[in-house]
Amino acid sequence: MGTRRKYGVRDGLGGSTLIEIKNLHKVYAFGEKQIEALKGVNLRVEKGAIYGVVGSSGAGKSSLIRCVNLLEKPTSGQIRVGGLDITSLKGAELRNARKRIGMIFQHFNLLSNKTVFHNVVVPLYLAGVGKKEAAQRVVDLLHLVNLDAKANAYPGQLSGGQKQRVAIARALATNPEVLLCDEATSALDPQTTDSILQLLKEINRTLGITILIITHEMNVVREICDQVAVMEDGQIIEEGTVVELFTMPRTETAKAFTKAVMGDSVPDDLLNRSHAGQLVKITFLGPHASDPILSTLSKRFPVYANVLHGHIAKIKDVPFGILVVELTGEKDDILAGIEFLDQQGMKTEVLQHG
Amino acid sequence: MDNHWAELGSMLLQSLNETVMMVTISILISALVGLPLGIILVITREGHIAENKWVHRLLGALINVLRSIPFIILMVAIVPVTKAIVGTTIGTKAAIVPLVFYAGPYIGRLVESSLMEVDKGVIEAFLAMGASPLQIIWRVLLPESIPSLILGITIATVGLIGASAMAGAIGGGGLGDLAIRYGYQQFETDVMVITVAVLVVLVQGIQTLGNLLAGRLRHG
Ligand SMILES: Nc1ncnc2c1ncn2[C@@H]1O[C@H](COP(=O)(O)OP(=O)(O)O)[C@@H](O)[C@H]1O
Ligand SMILES: [Mg+2]
Repeated sequence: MGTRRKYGVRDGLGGSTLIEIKNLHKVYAFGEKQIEALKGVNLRVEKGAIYGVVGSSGAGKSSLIRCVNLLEKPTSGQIRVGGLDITSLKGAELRNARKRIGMIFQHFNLLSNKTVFHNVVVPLYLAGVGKKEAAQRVVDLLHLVNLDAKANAYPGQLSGGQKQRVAIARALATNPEVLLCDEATSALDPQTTDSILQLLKEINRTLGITILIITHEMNVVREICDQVAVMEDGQIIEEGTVVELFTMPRTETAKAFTKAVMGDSVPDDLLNRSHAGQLVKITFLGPHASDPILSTLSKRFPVYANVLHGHIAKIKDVPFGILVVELTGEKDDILAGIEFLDQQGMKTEVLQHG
Repeated sequence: MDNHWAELGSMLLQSLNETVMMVTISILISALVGLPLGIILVITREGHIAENKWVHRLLGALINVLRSIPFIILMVAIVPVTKAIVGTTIGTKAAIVPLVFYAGPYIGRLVESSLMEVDKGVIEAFLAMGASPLQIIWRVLLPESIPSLILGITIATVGLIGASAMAGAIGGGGLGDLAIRYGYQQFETDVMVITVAVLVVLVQGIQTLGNLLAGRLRHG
């Protein structure tokens, strides 16, 4: 475990827990039929983190995130946000708690007959902020989401990405501690998705808002999350830092999800062919990704490295790559070479001995 | 001949005035009654912001009963109520009571269907913001359905013009009364034709105005 930590991706700020979910169950009942959407979910989100929950459709992700602000009433279990037991709240107390928890949705959910300005100002009015102060705050919020020029536009005149920006501005209006994102980029094209994710990242960094994001797109997790939980059939089946998930996924589901993004599977024919040297899979992460590590290897040891397959991507802002190389040389030298790579913080795995 | 047209003209003007009075007052009161009815019908639905099965069922049943009584029978049946409210059972003022009983529940249903159209997601977004049920009605349900509500009120107004013609039969006056008394009962075809023409223009005007206003306010 220790080696994973040094990759340098933030795994929470080591601070306090902001969202704590304990043994959460949710059963939908209609008539005779019952659907158990959540089967004892435990989750802990640190203050300041971006936490992702990934899973296929129907896994229970939406049910989970909607329980956090009680849009959905849990059947049993406990949810604490900022120390407050959400599940016990009702009426005005619940409404006040909700003002500290922002939420954005897949389909934006804006007032279609009202301008961008009005859409963003409403939560301020609901919170009792005066007209003048609220108007100033809307100007700031629209600037934050890069929509300064659109205050008087109607949602129908905006692109999907712009609508989501309005929704983000609206969600941030009352300075919440948490932002819940329910498939916030799933209705957007890849480029727009990216720009929204960058915005969320910036908000997290500059305002310190904790973000809980659920998605079926592993790409979203890779782009912005620090921590991730993999959900399947109403349960969290795997949890850890995003780096851990990508470098050593444990469950089949997690493997499938990471593969979809990384394309890191080693081509079969590569493994079936016989090679003169040793076939080694090197996983590297962080600053090393850009080091000329293979040439250093060859300089230090009488070992030659031939790259057979490779893929590089970024996890949040950290480069991450997978290389399959064929190492040729004396057995002992190769062994020493692999040890050298390990010492450099790479993860190595021998796929085929020469 | 001149005399005949002058007389007809003044009769028409007076009847038009009575119809406009009857319909305007009735629609205002009916909207005042129907709007809350429609709102309650919607918010007490299952899964809505103030779910209440019994209120929803009771109110729905009451509205259905009132709406299934033919207007002409309703008019007679509620004579005692009319008498109690306005002190008389004939005349324009008396006609307003059955008209409200007729149009109020109707508008209730129209409002209900308008508010049902409001995107559930938007309501949810406001719940997530910590909005109260009243705030959701005021900030979401009504503004989001305003164009559709205006069209509903337009439809109800046109319906009221038709009903007010029948109310004329019990001495309510108005254009319908004129058409029936002179045109139908005394075979003065020209009176009937002109009266109907005025009614057509009135209905056209109201519908056009309603469409225009609704279009102006719709941005979605
Ligand atoms: N309001 C609801 N009523 C009944 N069943 C529901 C409701 N919401 C979700 N479900 C069911 O619960 C399960 C989990 O759904 P959901 O939480 O939406 O999963 P996800 O967001 O991961 O796709 C699914 O089987 C879904 O059909
Ligand atoms: Mg979902």
